[in-house]
Amino acid sequence: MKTVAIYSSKGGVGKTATAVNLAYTASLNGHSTLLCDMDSQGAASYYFRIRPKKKFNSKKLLKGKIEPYIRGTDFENLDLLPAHFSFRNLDISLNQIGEKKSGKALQEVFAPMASEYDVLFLDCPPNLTLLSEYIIRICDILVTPVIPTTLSMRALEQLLKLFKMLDVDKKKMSAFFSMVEIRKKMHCSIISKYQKYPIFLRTAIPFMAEIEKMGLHRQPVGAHGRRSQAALIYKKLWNEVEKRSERK
Amino acid sequence: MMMKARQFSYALPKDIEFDDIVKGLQKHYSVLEDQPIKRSEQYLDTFDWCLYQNKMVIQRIGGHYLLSAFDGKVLSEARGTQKKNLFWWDLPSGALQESLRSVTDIRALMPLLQVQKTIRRIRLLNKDEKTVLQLSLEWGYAETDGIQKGELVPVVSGREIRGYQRPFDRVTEVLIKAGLDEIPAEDPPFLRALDAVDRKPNDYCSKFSIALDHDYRVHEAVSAICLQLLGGMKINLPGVIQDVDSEFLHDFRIAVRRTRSLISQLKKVLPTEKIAYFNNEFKWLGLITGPVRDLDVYLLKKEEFHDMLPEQLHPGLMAFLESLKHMRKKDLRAMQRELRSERIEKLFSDWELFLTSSPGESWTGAEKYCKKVAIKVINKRFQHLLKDGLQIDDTTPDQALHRLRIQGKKLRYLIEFFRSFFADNEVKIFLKQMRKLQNNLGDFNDLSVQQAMLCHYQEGLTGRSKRTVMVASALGGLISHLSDDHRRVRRKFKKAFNNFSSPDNIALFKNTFQ
Repeated sequence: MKTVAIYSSKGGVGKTATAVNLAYTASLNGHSTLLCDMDSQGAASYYFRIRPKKKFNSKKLLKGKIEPYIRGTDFENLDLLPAHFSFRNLDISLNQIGEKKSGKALQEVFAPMASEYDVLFLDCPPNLTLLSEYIIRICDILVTPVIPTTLSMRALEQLLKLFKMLDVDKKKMSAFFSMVEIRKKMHCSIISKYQKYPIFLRTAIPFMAEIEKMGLHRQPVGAHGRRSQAALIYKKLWNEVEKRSERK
Repeated sequence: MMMKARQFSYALPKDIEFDDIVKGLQKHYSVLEDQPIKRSEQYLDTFDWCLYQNKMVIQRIGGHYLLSAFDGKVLSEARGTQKKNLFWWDLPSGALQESLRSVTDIRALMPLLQVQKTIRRIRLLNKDEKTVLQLSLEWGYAETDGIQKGELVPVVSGREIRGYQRPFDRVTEVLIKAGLDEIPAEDPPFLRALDAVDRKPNDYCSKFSIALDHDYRVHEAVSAICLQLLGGMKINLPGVIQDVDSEFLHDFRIAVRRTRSLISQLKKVLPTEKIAYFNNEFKWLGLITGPVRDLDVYLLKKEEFHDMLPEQLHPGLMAFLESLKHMRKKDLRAMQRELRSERIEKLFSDWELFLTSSPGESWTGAEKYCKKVAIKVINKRFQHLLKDGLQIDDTTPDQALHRLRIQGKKLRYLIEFFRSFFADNEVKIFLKQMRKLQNNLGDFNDLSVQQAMLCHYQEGLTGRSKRTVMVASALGGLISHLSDDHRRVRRKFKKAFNNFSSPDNIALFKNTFQ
């Protein structure tokens, strides 16, 4: 089972849209896919119209009791573990378990899913916490959307520093330019300066009204069945991510 | 460990409207209907139900093949030929081809029936407009070769969405309350389609089996046995004429052979003149179907012959088999002409009339108790077999073993005709012992015949073309290999016959057939 974390320390960069659309694309390719919404805000769950069951909470998650709480989306091959409001305290809970055990705990939560799913997506909360550290450790590939601005590049550098600190191979990281607006000079200059670095995927996701409207339609792009530019671009992005993960 | 997603299927009776059920569900859920789907599927199996007996079903939609278990689980799929009848080798290599190969072997897959159905798809939505259950209504009809047509019972099916157990349970309750009957999961839709066209699975089996009452008279027993054999001939005849696969002809000829064997072995209690006419006609059937069957046997040995020869001789073997195929085409046309004739129609109708009419006064043996006659004939045949077999030693010419094989065959046929008169378990054991001897004699006969045929063919080759030399060399290789096998099988005869004629086996025979 491949574990793909969609992560950014900054909010509003297209992280959840990426998680939802890449998960949907993977499922369309025939992969049995599970998307875990780790962000207590529950945006991914909202897109899929899925609420958590009453009895679900962060305690149950950390105990590895997630199977009864996974719910099927409206799409073949794609299931979701919805977020719960108690996830806002996941860091505290992980801290209480203790360093050595936490990493194992998180691994053990997801490992049993390998018998059922080909790909696991983790939609991570936009912060730099203990939870983020453990996700960085356990994932196979970390996909990070980056809006092409100076501040975003600083955040990316910070993330690379964290990788080094945690002694995690930076080859795990795949960044891509997100919400790109070609008419903006800064976007163009940042892209032309940094695109050449191997950490960046070649596919960039432009700012698209279609993607923004996901919150209105509450489904992945392209799910309505009609031709979708956005769906095509996410397909390209997923192909690149898949290829990279196979190289490792 | 994940629980498999639950499903349900309910038959919708004529007096209940599906839309009324959906209306009722709208109290709890919103309803969204997707575009209905129209589907046309064909189900296939071999004539003798090989797939069904292995609890499998194969569907064909256009050129797409789907092999499933009875519970609907897809085992394998492939895209392949759209020709009406096909063999496993007509499909691309892969899991599907492998499964078919092991189950169907040399039998062709033939269309059993075609299903045309319409599927209405309904989604039940919760307050968030999330689909919490997928419901469908399926209806249509099944037809066979454009002849028989039957309506399918409409089916309401539902599939649970993971994590949404309550809607599934609620809808199941609603359907049960409305009076719908559940269709068990192990009941494949295929069986319902068969039912709609009035067919039952396993309605053909090549094995001969008949239960005769102990007090049956000769004419009753002969009638029962021969009508079954006649049925076998009739049902296989279309497949023979259309040349669907080699087993139609094989089964047809076995039915003819058994009929002749019974007529011959009971001739003392059968009306002489009438039977002479029928015997002659069945002999004619044997003659006109012989050449094609003989060639089939060789063509079916392609792989076996291939393995016998080194690679250098394979091209010669291929050329030889090609010429056999060519001969077969000619012989097939001649056979088809005869089998379409009025002569065979007359034979079948005359024979059926004879078997279903009450025996005339001229049939003196008709009212004899068949069991008594059977015991006498079986014992006589067994004694002959023992006597002839005991006289065979290492120096006896091959012909004696061929005669012994025929003796054995006659005995086996008799036992199979009349086995219901005797203790089943003991008959089973005795036949098992017989089979070992028969196999040895059968192998020996096959090897003799094959060698003779190949020698004859080789002698008939003329000219010195490269092709002729290749074929002659390949045949030489085969003859040499077969000759070694021939000697080896001959050496095993003594032991096989000793086992058969052991005091234990003789005692078993005496105890059983009395």
